[in-house]
Amino acid sequence: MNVRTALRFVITGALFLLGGVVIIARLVSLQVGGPGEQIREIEPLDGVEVAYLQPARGNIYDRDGYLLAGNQLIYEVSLELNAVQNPISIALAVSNVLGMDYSEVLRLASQDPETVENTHILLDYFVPYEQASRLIQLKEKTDAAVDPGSTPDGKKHSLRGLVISPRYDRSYPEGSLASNVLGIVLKDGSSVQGVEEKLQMLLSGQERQTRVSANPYQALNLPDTLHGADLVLTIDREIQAALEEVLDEHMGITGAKQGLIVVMDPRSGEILGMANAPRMDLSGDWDVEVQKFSDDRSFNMALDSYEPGSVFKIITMAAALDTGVVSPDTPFTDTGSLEVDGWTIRNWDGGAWGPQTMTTCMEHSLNVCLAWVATEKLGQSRFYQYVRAFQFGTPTGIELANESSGYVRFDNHPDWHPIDLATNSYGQGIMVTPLQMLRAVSALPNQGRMITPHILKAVVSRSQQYEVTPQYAGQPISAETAATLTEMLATIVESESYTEMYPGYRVAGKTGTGTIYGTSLTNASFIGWGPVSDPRFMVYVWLHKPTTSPWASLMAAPVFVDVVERLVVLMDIPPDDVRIQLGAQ
Amino acid sequence: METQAKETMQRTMQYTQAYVQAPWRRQLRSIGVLLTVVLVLVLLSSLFVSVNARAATLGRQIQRSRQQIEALEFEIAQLRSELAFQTSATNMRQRAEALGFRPVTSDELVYVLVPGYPGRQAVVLAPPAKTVVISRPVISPAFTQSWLDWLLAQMEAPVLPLAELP
Repeated sequence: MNVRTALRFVITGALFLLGGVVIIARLVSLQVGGPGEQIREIEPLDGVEVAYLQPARGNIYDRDGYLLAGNQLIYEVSLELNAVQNPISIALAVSNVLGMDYSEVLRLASQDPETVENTHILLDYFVPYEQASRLIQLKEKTDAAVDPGSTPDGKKHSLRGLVISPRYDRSYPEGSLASNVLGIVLKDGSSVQGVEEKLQMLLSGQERQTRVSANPYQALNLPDTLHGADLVLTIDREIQAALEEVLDEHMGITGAKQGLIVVMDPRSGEILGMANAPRMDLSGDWDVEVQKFSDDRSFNMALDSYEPGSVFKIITMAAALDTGVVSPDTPFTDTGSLEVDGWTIRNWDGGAWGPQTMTTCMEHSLNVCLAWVATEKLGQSRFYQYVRAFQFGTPTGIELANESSGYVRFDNHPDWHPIDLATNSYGQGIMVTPLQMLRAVSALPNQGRMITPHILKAVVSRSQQYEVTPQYAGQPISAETAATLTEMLATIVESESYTEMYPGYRVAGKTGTGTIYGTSLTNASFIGWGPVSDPRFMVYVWLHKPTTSPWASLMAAPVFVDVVERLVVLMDIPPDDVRIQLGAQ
Repeated sequence: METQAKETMQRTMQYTQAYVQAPWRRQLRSIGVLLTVVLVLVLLSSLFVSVNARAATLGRQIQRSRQQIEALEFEIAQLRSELAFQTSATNMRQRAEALGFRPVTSDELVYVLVPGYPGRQAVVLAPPAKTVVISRPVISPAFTQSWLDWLLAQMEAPVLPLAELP
C-alpha cells in the first residue's frame, strides 16, 4: 500500500472517530448537565405524578337553552413548600392581591418542608378569576425576569412555590330564578335538594385521581376527564320569571307564609314553571339565604304533602260519575249537616244550601254533599279503589329530590274509621302533594288518562342528546267521565266573578280551602287548566297560611287569574274564537 | 493427476506470495467487512433514533394538546357563564325597558296563521342519541415499534405454506 492510500485510510478513520466523539460528547452534555437538566426540570421524562382529574359539573339549561346553572372559573391558591425560594416575595404578593395577612402567609411559606407533615398548604380555596389573573401575571413576570429585584434579606424575588390552580365553581346566571327547582351544590361537590341532588350521578361526572406518566411514549395512556352530563329542563325561563313575579306580588297581598305556583303542560306532563316563595339566591350569602327556610318553611312546596281541601272533591266526583252512581244533574238537598260515625259534617260556611245538583254542589263546594256522595253513593270500597287508581300515596317520580309520597289511610288500615271516608271526600284527613294532584287531575284534559309530571326534558352526554319521553300513569276514569267533569268544572269557573279577568279563554278549575289542624289558618289552593277545548296549561296554586282571608276563592283563585293572563301571552295561545277561526283556515 | 496437483499448489503459492508481498490487501478486506457491519449498525440505529424521536415529539404534542384542551375547557365554561349573565332574564328585561319596550298584553296581540311554522321548539344541544361504533384511532406501528420489535414480530409471524400464498 502506498503512502497516499494509507493516508486516505487514516483520514477516513479519523473522521469516523471524530464523528463518534462528537456524538458521544453531545449525548453526555445532554444527559448530564446543561440543557438536559433544564429539560428534565421542566418536563421530567420518567416522572410519574398523581393527577387529579376534575370534571366539570354538567350545565343545567331551560327548555330554550338558557343557562340556569353553569360553571365558572375559580382558583385555588396554595403553597408547595419544597419549591419555595423566597417566602417574603410570596407573602408580599399574596397579601397585596388577595388581602391575606402578610405575617401569616410569611410564617406558612417559611416553614421547613422537612419538618411539616404536608408540604402542600392551601391558602385560599375561592379566589375569583380577576384576582387570580393578577396573581398569575405577577408570578409569570417575576419568574421570567432576568433581574426581578430582591427582598430586604438580599434574596432575589421569586414566586416559585406559589401554586395557582384553576377549578370549576357553580354559577347561577339567572340569580334566584328557579332556585328551588335547581337545588344547592355544596363546597365539597355534593348537592342537596332539587335537580342537583336527584341527578347528582349524572351531573357530577367522574372525579378521580390517577397516576400520569410524563413519558411522551405513554401520552396515549392518559385517561380522559369524564365531565358531567348537561341537563335540559322542561322549565321555560320566561314563564318561570312570570310565575315568580306573580307569586311575589300575591305573597304581599295575601300575607301567606309560603306560596307555590306550578304550571304543567297537560298533554306531555312537562313542568313549564315551578315558582316557590320564599326562594333562595344561590349566589347569595349562605347564612342569610338559609334563614329564609327557618320556621319550618319548605324548600319546594310542590314536593310536600298537605291536606288539600276542596280541590280533592274533583277526585270524589270523578269516582262517582265514573261508577255511574251520580250524574251532573243528580239532586241533593243540603240540610247543612251529615252525621257519620257519630261525627257531624258541616259545610265551609256552616250553612244549609237547600236543593242542589252535583254541579252546584261542586260550584258551592259543599262538604256535606260530597260526604254524602262518598258515604251513601260510592261506599268505602269504590272510593278508595279510585283513590288508588289515581295513585295517591305514590310519589310521581319527578326528577326532584325529597318528594313526599303523601299519606292516605286506606280502608284496610287498622286505624281507619268511617269518618275518614267522609272527610277524605272533601280533602281533609288525607295528605297529597301538588304534583300528585296535577297527575290525578291531568286525567280530565287527557280523556281519562293521567300523565306523569316531569321536569327533565333531555340529557346531553358525550355530544348526544337523550330525550325524555312523556309517560302516561294509567287511566282511572273513562273519557266520557273526563269530559263530563271537565264541563262541570268549566261551568263552575264561568259562574265565578274572577273569570271576568280573562275574557275569551274557557278554563276549568276548582278552589280548595283546607283547614290546618289545631289552628284557624288554612291552605288555599286552586287547580285549573285551559283552554278547555285545547288544553295547553294546567296550573296549581297553593298559598300556605294566608292571613288576609282564609278562603281559596279570594286568595288562590286571583293568583290563577293572573297566571293565566301571563300564560296566554307567553305561550302564544289565541282566544278561543280566534283559535277556532284560525283552525278553520 | 499429478499435473493438476502441481497447478493447484502453484496457484496457492502465487496467492500466498501476493499477500506476503502486499499484506494490506487482507487488511483492506477485513476493514471492508468491518465497515459494512458498522454501516449496517449505523443505519439501523439511525432508523431507531429517527422513529423514536418522532414518537417522542408526537407524544409531547399530545401532552401539550391535552393541557391546552383543559385550559380551553375552563375558558369556555367561564365565557359561557359570562354570556349567560349578560343575557339573563333580568338583564334582558332591564335592557328592553331601557330601550322603551314594555310587556305586551293579551288584548294587544294579533294572531296570524303561518303555514308550515311548527311553533316554538325546544332546544337541541346535540344530535339525538343513536348507535355509534366508536373506534380508537389507529396508529401506524411505525410510530410505536422499534426495529427490534419489528424484527421479532416478523420472526414470530406464522409462515404460510407456499401453496397458501396469494
